[in-house]
Amino acid sequence: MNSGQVILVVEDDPNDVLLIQRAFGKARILNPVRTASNGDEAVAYLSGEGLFADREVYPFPVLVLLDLKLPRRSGLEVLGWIRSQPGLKRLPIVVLTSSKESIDINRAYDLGANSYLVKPVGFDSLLELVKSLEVYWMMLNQNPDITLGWPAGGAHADAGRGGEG
Amino acid sequence: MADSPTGRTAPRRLLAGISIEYKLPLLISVPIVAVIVASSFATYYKVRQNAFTAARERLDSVTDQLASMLRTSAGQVGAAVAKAAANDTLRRFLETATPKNRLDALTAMRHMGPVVEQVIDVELWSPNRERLLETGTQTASIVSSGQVEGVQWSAQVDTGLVGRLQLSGDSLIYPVSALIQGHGGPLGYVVQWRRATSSPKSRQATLQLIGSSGSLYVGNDRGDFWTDLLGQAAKPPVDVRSTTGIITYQRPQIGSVMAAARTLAPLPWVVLVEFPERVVAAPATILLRNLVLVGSALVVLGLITAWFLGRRIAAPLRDLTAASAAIAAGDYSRDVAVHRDDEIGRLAATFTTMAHRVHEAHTLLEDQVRARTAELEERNDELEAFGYSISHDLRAPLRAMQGFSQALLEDCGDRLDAMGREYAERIVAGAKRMDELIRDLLAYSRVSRAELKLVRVPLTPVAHSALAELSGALRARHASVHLDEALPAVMGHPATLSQVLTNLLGNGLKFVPPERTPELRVHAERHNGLVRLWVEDNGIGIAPEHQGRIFRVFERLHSNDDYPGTGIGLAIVRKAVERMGGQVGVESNPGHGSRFWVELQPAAGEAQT
Repeated sequence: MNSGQVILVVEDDPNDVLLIQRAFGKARILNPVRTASNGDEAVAYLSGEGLFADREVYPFPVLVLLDLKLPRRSGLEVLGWIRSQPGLKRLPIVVLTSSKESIDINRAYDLGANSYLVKPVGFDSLLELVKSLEVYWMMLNQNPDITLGWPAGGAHADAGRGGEG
Repeated sequence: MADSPTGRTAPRRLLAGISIEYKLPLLISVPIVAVIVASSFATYYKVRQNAFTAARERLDSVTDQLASMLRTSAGQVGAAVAKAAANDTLRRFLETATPKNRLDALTAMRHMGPVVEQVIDVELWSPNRERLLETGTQTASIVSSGQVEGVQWSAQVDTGLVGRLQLSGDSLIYPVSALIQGHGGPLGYVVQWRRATSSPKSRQATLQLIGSSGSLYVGNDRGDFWTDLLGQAAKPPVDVRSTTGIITYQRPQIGSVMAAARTLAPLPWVVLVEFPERVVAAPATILLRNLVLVGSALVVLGLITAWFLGRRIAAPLRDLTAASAAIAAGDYSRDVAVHRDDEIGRLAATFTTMAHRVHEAHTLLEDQVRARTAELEERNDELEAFGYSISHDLRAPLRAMQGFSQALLEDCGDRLDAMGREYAERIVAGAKRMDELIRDLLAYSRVSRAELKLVRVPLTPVAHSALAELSGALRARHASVHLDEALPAVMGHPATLSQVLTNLLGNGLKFVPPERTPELRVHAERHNGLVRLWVEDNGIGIAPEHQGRIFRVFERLHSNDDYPGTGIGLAIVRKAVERMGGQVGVESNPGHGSRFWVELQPAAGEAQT
């Protein structure tokens, strides 16, 4: 699992997490999924702080699925924070949320989201969505270099320092 | 005040546009001028008439006096000559013409000459009117040429007769004859020729009588010779001998004159007195000039007074107007600086009070509006938060219900019996329906709240995109769509318009009985200057009594089993069209189809087809 490219799902609703994971399984997506259940945790994960300093267990993701309605730091705040970090600003972020409000959509794109998807209610639709996500972001899309202080498999201390920077 | 007086009312409001400052002087000075002019000329004519009447009376009396003076002096002269003629020496010569007697007679005659200064010649004539002796030579030419008609031969001893006035060389002369009576009858005549000049003393008297501007002329009975007693004078243009009373004629250089003439018969003289009318009228003229001067001064005074008065009225009115304009422009700080106790002062005070009241009311109103607006904004924010919350939070449990029911069916289906599976399916269906409800409610709420900026939207691409959205359902029902390709452009919001058309077409497609092939038709027409877009179907139609209800939220005419739906689609259509300034409506033939229409403003520059 660790060898695959990690997808970070930032989602506070355990039901949604479970459904997304089930959809990933049904779609036979092999990429490992890591979750963060609130905004602060997402920031901590990406910074490699605390528990997340171990990049063996919590590797740096190639794609973030970001919910907007999150406890503590909101999804839009997380998005803004990511885009303000020199080393993280290229990270592909796909907003996956319930809101279809144009204010949310526009704000997300303003802050630099790469895509905006609405969580479908039906599981079949979710499955379709997850499949499309894999095809597009994992197969077709060319990922940028994310270089700031994240030597692949490098020292933990470096990773931790990089995360702080 | 933007709407200025129209052309129709302009003539009636001739002075309407002029400031009181100028109107008041104008209104006051016009009657003053009229009164002054009228009274001045009336007075002038009265005075002039009086002056002329007085002058005529004076002319009459002066002429009479002069005539009588002349008659008197002619009588005196005649008497003097008669006295001189009663001379024995002359009588002796006439009786006996001896040389001595002749000499004596001549001497006596010469004595007659120098006695009176005016006498220039003394002659002695026989009874049969032959000249016998003469003392001077001055009249020789007259006499020799037989000019003796001018002599009036006296028939009485004591009365000499003055003859006709005539010219001899440069001198004006006239004869005076006196009879010399002998014992047996007339012996002859003495004829004195006298110069017709007046002495300075008598001229002075004449001047006093007729005044310096008047002229006195004396002429002979033939009217061919006139003198002003200094020399020969020009003949008057009218034969004055036959006239009575006052006559008027023109004199060169003098102008119009009034004149009176008297014939002095039996004296063959005519006296004529002239008064120039200019001089007669002079007092009236001077009066008129003075009246005009005084009148002009009065008018100027009136103008100045009226102008000051007008200013006193107009200036505070201007202040009031400026203050009103300031208030109209929203500036309540302007006070009217009029400190007076008259009507204008009270008006200003009332105005200031009113301005304060208006300001207070305005401030109060503004505060209220602000408070209400804040309240409304708060409500709106709450509503948005509500919609946002529904959008996010209410859907999460739905997804769980739906997702895990399906997971239950898929992952644990083999452990469920038919009833268990049906229940799970019902949970899935219920969740799906609730999701649709939430989706449509949110769409309705969005359409109600969103700011719709209206732009030019061509309807044809909108219709195409709506059909594309419905392509799956259209294919499933094998529907035929007739889309008029020449749809016009309207003023609208593109995404909202697209939703409107999608909902209308979806509605038309849905309410066709399953056994019938849906036929949809989209076309547009001009209606009362608006664009009316029609969406027609061949569905079940709507009974007239229901047609008003179908555009309301949650209004449904059919069970969810017959025609599934949320009952919000047409409400969204109506709300959206109203938000774009349009209207919706429906015509229906129950059982055969409905024709929905949407009316919107045409895009600017759209051809009137």
